[in-house]
Amino acid sequence: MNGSSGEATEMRSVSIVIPTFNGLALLRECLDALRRLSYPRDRLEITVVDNGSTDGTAQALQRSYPSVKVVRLETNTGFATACNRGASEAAGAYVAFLNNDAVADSGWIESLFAGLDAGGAGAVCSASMIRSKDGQEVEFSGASSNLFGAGRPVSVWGWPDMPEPPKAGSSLLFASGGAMLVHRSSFLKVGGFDPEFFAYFEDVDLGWRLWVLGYKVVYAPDAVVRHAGGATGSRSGIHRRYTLWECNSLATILKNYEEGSMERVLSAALLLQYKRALMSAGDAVKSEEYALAGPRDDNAANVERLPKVSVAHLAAIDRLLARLPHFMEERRRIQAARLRSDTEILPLLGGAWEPQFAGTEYADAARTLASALDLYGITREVAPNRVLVLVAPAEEGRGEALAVRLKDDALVAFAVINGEQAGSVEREDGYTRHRLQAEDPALRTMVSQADAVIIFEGAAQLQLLAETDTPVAVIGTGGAVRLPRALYVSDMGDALLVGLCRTPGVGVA
Amino acid sequence: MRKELNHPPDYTPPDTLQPSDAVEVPPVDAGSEDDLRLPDNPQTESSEYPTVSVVVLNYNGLKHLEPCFTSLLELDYPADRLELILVDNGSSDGSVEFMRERFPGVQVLETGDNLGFAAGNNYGAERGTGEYVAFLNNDTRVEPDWLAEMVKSLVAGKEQGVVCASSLMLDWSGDKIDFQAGGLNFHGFGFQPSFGLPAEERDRTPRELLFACGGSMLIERGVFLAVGGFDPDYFAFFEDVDLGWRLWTLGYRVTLTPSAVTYHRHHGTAGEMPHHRTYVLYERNALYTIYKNYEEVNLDKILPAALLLLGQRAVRFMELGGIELSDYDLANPAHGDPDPATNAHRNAVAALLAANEFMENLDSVRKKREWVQANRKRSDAELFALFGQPGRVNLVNHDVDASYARAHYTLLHEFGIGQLWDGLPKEVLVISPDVLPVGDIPASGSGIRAWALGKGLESRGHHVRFTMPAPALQGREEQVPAEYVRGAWTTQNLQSIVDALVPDAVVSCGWPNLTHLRRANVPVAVDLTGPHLLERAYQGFRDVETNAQEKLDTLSRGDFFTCIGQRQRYYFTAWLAQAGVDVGSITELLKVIPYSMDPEQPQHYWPSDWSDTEICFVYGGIFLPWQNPAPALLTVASTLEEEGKGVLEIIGGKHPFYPIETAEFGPLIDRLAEIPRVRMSGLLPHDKLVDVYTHAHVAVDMQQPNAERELAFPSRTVHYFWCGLPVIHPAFSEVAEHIRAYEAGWVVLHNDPEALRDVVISILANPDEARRRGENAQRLARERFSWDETVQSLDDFVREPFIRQGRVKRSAAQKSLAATIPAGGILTGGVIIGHSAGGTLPRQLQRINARRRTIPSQLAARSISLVKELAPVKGSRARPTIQNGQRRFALPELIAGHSYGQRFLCPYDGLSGIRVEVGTFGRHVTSRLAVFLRSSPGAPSDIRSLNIPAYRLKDGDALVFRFPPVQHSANRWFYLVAESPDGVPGDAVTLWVTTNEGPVKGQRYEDGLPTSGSLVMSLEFNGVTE
Repeated sequence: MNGSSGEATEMRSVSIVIPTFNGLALLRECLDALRRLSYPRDRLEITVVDNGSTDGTAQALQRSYPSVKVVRLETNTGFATACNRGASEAAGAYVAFLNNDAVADSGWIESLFAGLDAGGAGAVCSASMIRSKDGQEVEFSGASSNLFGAGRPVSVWGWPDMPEPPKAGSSLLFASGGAMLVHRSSFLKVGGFDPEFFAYFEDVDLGWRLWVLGYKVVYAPDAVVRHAGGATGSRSGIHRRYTLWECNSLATILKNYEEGSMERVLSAALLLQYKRALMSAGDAVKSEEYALAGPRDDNAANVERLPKVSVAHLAAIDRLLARLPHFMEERRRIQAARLRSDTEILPLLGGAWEPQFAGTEYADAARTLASALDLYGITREVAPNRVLVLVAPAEEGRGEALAVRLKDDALVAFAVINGEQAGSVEREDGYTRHRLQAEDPALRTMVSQADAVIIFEGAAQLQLLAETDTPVAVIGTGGAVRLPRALYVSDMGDALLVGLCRTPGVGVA
Repeated sequence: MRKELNHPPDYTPPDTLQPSDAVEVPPVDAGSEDDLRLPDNPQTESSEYPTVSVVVLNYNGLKHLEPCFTSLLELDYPADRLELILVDNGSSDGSVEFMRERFPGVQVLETGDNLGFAAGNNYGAERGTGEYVAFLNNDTRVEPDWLAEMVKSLVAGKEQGVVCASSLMLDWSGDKIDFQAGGLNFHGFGFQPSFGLPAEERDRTPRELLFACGGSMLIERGVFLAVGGFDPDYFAFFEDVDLGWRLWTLGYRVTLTPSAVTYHRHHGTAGEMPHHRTYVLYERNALYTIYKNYEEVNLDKILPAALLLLGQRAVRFMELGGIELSDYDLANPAHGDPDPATNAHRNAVAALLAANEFMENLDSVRKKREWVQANRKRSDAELFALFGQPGRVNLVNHDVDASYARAHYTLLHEFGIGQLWDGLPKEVLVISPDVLPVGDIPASGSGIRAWALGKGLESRGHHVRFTMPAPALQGREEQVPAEYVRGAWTTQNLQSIVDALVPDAVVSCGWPNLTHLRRANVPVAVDLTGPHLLERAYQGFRDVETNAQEKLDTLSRGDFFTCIGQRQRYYFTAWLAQAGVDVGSITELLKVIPYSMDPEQPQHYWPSDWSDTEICFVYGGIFLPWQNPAPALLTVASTLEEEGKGVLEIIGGKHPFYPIETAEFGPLIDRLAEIPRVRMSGLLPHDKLVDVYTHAHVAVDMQQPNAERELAFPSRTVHYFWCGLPVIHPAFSEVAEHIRAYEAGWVVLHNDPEALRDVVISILANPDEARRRGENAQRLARERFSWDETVQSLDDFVREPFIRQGRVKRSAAQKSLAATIPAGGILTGGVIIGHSAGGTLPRQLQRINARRRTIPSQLAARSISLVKELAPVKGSRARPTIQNGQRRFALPELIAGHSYGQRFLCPYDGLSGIRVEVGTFGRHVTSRLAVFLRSSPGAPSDIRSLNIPAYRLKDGDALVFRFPPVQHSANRWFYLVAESPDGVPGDAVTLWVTTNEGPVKGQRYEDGLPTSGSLVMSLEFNGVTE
């Protein structure tokens, strides 16, 4: 009916694909919101892929949303397959995937296109900004991943000194599968979401793969979606989701890294995964009962009681190995068609060393692996580290000199603690200067987000530095207070300091 | 003479490695040649003997000490050259007091604490003073010449770098072998392949070993300490494997001294420890061993695979403990047990703790790795042969092994690990359903078939063991070599034979055997010779429905299938599809191997003059109810009677072992017996049968058609060809086409007795024609039915075996706890299976080895790729691609002045790329490589060319030569040639060759001259024609 409108016919056609499984009430909210989209109706198609729901979804859709196209699958084939199915049956030149528990702003589609267009040549996929249902919290405002494929919905922009604030068209490692736009034929050509992922991290894998194959994924911060969260998949024990998280991050490594890097990253990922399995078993495992010389016990059945979350780390291995021929075939296909090197892609990771388990023991294990398997050779290609330089007011000049020296190698934040003008921030050329009180919560946040903290001895008695997992280097002796895990270096000329900017934790133990 | 120590003995390699730290193979520095020989009489010339410290480590082993030291005091070795040391690892059972009182001449060193096996033995070696140190377990006793024999081996081998000797170990009673060979699989688990063999099977000749058994060995003390001794990080288990591997890597050698005999109470000490505690050490130490000893390029591939398999073992142990994997599947519609905790077997936790300890200790292990790698003298490729069976699957527990084994073989394949040793022999078990042609009893066609497959694999270099059914040997055991009797299978023991041997692949001849092989724990090839179901029907054996169900059930347990002819391939395709084999894969999984014979053929005897020779027609074989030669044999016999010439000799009878009715044969034999020109004898052993055939002149091989016969590719017919007999054969049979093509006999309609009669008369008139066709028959057998050639597809499977994806279905197998978990990680072989006689290497392997010698590091060849640099811009997606076969061997280095080429027939239009598999042997190559595409070897100009520096060849698998599509390339011949204008030995690449005939038809060239095989290459097509 809009055939006469010249403007509308130039608009690109979009099929919104919503996979659903037993979430009728939320789905109604989702579909009602889509009625308010400002995008021209005749350029839009809405498809619900029903993954075998048993709550009357199909009938309700037919009754209340007759214009919505329904693709009915007999059983729950998972998120990835449902999306692929929806995309392959869609009519639009673009597909927008949307979770069934998400509510899109009226300008959602236009904003997604604005982001895409700002990304320039090769941009085929744009990511929405996802907020919590009440709009108060940000659930996805960028993408990052550690080296081991554990994607996260925040980017290095969480760091206060990112040189550029997020804007439309900025490169992202991946777009959240919960609300994204993708050029349909490109999506299908690269193989869509990997159906063997079933659910979780299929979006990380897709984004990474798009980059490897020469495309770009970009951010559309104005395309806002509000997400109820946890609507699907939460009814069974969390160990089932752990199994998928652990398996799928390994699969992402297996498929996307270049030869040579893949093997080393995979070895490290497996050792860390086994460590997480043990650590998540907590007190259930008493290691002295496994020592040859340890005291005898009366566990004649040789059976332990383990949390299922711990077992899930190994169930993931079984799942991965059962699918290994598929993942390796995909690997061969992807690597043969590679158009970008890891050197170009890895800077998109963000926090390459972001730990997947809290505590210093885990962080130390990661560092041991990094040097034993020479992972630093790989992470040298990763985005620069976030380095926080902390000084007492009397040390400001020396600290500033160091910040200037490091700014080309790292994202530097420089903070003067317990001085005057607390709370002020000044942007300098290539870094920022903060003035903070020691008890300011912002300081704790900055320390936890940093890849390394370098302090001058006047600031070394800060209590929070004794507790943090972040590697700390102290210039000088640190005075009377000794931080348990810090590296003490004699002066700021030490080459280790520059090393910290690219390879976190070298020498810090 | 004592050696100076190069290193501190605690195996703490220096932090910075200096050139002077390099370990040298010790030079021969001990004076004249004479010094290398030991005097015969130790009593008179004791000063000629080197000094030895014997170290016995003890931890609460009081009860073992008396017999152990009594035997040491009885050694035939000069007492003044011998130092006996007991290292006590902090015993609390009075061992030390006992030794002081009972053996005051023995030096007792107290460590004060349990340092473990490795550090405890090092402690003794550091404090000993001998030129040599012997390590002996406390739960042993030795023969009097134990020490002198090992000393002799090391003195004799000194020049070759032999520094370490292993004793042969028997069990305490001396009946069975404990240790005579040590194997190692690729992820670091050692095994004892001869464990449990009867003592009379033991080795008598010294041979090289990867490692000496730490329980009884001798080593040059200076070398032991210089290389760091046993790694104390191990505490116990596999430290001997690591030491042996390290010695080899550093340039030394290790030998087995079979004349030095030790008697051992197996696991006298370790057997008392709870298994989950020792299991931590096995898992952890295996990781240490591979991490320290592999070259970087191999470690990169193997470490992640080893870690995945560690995880997979842990999962399997968790299953044993009671977890249900379906409870971890989000797709499972049932919400599952709400309990947030579950039971898991302790060994699963042990594996995780092992990985964790490995990781926590990596900083220290890395320094050891760097030291070993910096001092490396031999490549891994040179050492894989010493592993024995690097691809051996490390089975966990029979109830859960299937999915473990599948993961193991999948990883070997997908990570390209199996390729690292694909030139090495595999261990194969051939299960014959019937008597093999060995010994002095008649063999059946199916036995000869099994023999041929095994022999074919042997001709490709593999180690093949055969087993035949024990019931068939009953009462005839004396007529068969003893090892075949001992290794014969029964329905009860077949699976345990496989479990004990853990072969790389099983070849089961006939599907009925698989009824008794229920566990999918090793790859299984099934030879589907003959439509057995039809044979059963002819015998009235059970009912068709039961038989069919059994057949489908057993077929689903095979991974790869062979059959004997094209018609049977069609027949079995349908069965495999019904058995659940993926229909899309059947073409790849079911291959034809015709009935085959030894390429060495018997000589056929033809008379120089026929005048005083009766022309002899022969029929031979077991009488079976689905075969009916009666009309033909009666026609031949009556023709001979009418003509008054020739004889018909019938050799055969009922199946000698199985109660199979003979149907038509009873009345037939009665009638033939009345005809004078017919001679008859019973079944003969194979060699005697060959004797008859090679003196006869024509085989009468006529049968009446039925469902079975029309599918058959008869063994007896090929056997006739092989013996040089021309064959009279019915036209309905598949073999008839071969007979026509080679004029290897006469093809006659089965229902045309006149035609048969005419053939017989013509032979009687012109017997030289029989000779001519008989010679053709032997040529046919040689060219089409020689086992070294026909076995190709089975060889491909054995070289890279797999467990088919659909084969492993998680059965409701009874899951029982620990009872069947073998003690310790050293899995043991046990059952003797007849091992076919050794002998010289087959010609093909000799050829390959000869090539390998030209480039010693051939096995380390890495393939390389230019995909990234040369790949075209996106958009020109290549399709379709065809490839011409698997790598078989690599050519010598391509150096200046030489060229390697391939002439090929291009099947499609739009030829746009050629991928050629290249090897660099892991070296950095600086020379250039030029590749040209021409229309023919003599063409004056290039169609396309590429000139690249070889250093751009990086990790990957092929040199990719892409170019704008050649529009009309279909059905055109092209010639691809590679040259290396500045390649010199040591700085050049090479190309891989396949012996398969793949879809790329053509001819390989070297230096412009045609030669055999093809370059391993594939063609890419743009597919777009304008």
